[in-house]
Amino acid sequence: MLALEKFIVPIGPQHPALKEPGHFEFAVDGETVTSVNVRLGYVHRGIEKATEDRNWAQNLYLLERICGICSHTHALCYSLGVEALAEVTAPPRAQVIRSLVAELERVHSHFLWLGVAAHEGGFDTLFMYSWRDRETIMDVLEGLTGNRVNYSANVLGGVKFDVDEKQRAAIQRGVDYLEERTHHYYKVVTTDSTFIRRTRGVGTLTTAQAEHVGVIGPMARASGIARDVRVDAPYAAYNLFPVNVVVETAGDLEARFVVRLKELLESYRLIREMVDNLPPGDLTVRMPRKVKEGEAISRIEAPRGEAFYFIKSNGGEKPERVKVRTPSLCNFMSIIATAPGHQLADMPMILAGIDPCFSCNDR
Amino acid sequence: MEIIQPIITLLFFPAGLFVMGNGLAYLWVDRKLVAQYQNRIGPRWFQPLADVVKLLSKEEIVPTGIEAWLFNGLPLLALACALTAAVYVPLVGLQPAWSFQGDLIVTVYLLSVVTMSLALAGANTANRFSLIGAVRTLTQLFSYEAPFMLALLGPALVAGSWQISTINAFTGQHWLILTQPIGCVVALVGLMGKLELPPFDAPEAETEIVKGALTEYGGRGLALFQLAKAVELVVGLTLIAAFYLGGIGNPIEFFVKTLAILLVLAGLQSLFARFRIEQTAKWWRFAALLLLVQWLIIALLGGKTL
Amino acid sequence: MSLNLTETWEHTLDALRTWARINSPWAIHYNSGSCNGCDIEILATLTPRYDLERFGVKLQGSPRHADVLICTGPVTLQSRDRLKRIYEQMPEPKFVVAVGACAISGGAFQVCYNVVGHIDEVIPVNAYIPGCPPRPEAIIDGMVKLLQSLQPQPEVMVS
Ligand code: SF4
Repeated sequence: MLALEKFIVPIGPQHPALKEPGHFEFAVDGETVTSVNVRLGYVHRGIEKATEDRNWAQNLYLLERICGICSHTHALCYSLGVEALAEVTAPPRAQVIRSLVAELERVHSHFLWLGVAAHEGGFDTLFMYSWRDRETIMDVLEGLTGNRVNYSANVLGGVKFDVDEKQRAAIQRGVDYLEERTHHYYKVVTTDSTFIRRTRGVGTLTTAQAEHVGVIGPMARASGIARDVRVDAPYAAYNLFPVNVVVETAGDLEARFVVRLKELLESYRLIREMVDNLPPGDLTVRMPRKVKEGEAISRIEAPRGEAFYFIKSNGGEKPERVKVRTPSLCNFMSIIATAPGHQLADMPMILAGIDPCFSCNDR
Repeated sequence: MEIIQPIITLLFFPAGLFVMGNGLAYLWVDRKLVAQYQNRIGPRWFQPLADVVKLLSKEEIVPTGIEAWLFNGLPLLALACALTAAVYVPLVGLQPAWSFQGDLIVTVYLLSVVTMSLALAGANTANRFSLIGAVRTLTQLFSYEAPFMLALLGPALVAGSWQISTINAFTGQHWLILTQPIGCVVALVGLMGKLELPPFDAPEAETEIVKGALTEYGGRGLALFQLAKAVELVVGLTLIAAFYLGGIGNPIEFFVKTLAILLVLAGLQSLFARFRIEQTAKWWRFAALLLLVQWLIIALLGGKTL
Repeated sequence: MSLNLTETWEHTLDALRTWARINSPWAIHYNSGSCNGCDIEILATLTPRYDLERFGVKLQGSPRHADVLICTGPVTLQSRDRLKRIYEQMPEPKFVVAVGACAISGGAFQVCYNVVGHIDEVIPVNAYIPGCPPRPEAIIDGMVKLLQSLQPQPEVMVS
């Protein structure tokens, strides 16, 4: 036998549990994890720096490609920031459509997460079913924007497309179907005994811990912290369509499932209200080519939590600095806090539980 | 190159070829059924065959720092044992090719050797995932082995013989699934554990340890292990059908009964989330206990209820 | 005569191998700096609506088991060596599919400072699937085209 070194199980950068490259080192004692080491940066492309070489409008498309899952989030957050700097407000109809796409995106993202998390737990049937249903929302998004993933719904000063009668009907049909399915998944997740055995009491993050490591988004809400930018600092049309924050207190994996599924139901309600109450009017306002000198901060609630943009302009055609902080970064700390003491088999699920997005995180 | 020779002999040994073909066909049925349960179309009928042929024709990479002969030999051992086990069971409703008093025990142990060689193969490679996979394979082996064995001995006990063909003849008149339901369930689940099918696939849990013991195997080694698994599947299904589902007398009975079991197996596979390894072990302790209770009842009642 | 027999035998074996190769492409997926969009669409191809398993494609975890390396994204400085290593770990014969505009040309990330280039500057690529991201149908089409290209082409007679 070798000396009793730490036996380290690496997960990533190429690993079936991770669809993106991140690197985790789990020191294990038998099957029990004793410590975790996170190493990020495999997908760092230098997007923030690249924004300085492009003009304001071009950046919209670059920033959208920070992340393919929450592309609208980034574009929206950036547009809101730039519009604030340029002292332009998008017309009300555009605001509502922006929120509408944001909610649709949340639905797609949560379904995606549900499938991936189930797959990590070895429950491939749930993965297949949830991704089958996710196609419904992809169809809706495609019908609305013409693209399945990077929708580029935003332009500076408004949105690109309108929602007409036909699309309204399509959205409603899609949402009706998904609502029914979501109730079903909720039942599976909360009653299936083999699944519960993998989620209940696993990866528990108490409220105090959650405050301490500063988690955000559904992670925080599953640990009993009612933190949601849509409520705390409403943007776009969220002051017209107030959001009920879903909070669970258990803080374990099951709570994270429950929070996300309940958020889906909340999103359906918002989507329905939004398509029924679309204010009439223009879709865009004119946007100056040069943006006034100054600094702006914009925050929005991405599917994974709060996305934060800092934008600085020196009055030219290009930004001087764009700083992006994405939700995943805040949540990674929680892995380090919760993983030790758990079985190695729980690691993929704990990892997936925070819904990590490496490409957002590394940019 | 010397290893090629025995492989070819094995491959073209007609009965062996048939068993392997049967195994691959059953693997396909299994995959197809699981796909159907998951709302997919699933692979085409020749998929497992194509997989194996492709793997056989791939470049063989032997990692450095390990015993090369073990690396190459273990897959062969696994396949050989699985094929030998096939000799003792009433495949396709024919009389077992070889039969003697006590061949049941030999069969079960040959099947264990398949798993053992898998674990050894994992322990032999310096890959961390393989090592963990090997440990888990062994843990699982030790936990299901006893209940599985007990489940197969139940019928042997009432038939009063350790010979598979005698038991088969006896069960031809008795559907033991009715009198020993626990044994039947345990044997079924034991087979799933043996074959490392989900939800008992912790030893090769993809999202944790990639492919477990087989992570470093590509090409021929992997192909042989797959064949061994396929043969094991057929042998296991035959045993359960023969012992619990009223014996196997003719080919039609064989196919109907084994496929029926496979249908149930595929359903079980797609119903559950993966068990953690310690959860698996716990399950088996419980199963063993149940079986002992059943045994006791059988022993107390003697042959009267039958 | 005996020579002829061996030749036929070789031919049959070759045909069998090609058949198996075409019908059982096991894939492995690596993201060397993409935006996720392409990865998600690749995963979507496995799910019920598209079901890539119909063509025998199985997503594998270990490079040792894979025949096709599906790459997405431009290659970043940090993942370049990883990408190469994964490629080298795969046993022959192996193929590489570059999925998405970034993988083909660097796409939107062309001038980013940490991007060293597109996939075929690092490893040889057999098939390119354009789109940002390509639809799952396009990915399936690309895979099928790649497999078709393995079919031995009828030799053109030069007079
Ligand atoms: S091609 Fe487009 S969708 Fe695909 S990784 Fe690149 S930016 Fe993302």
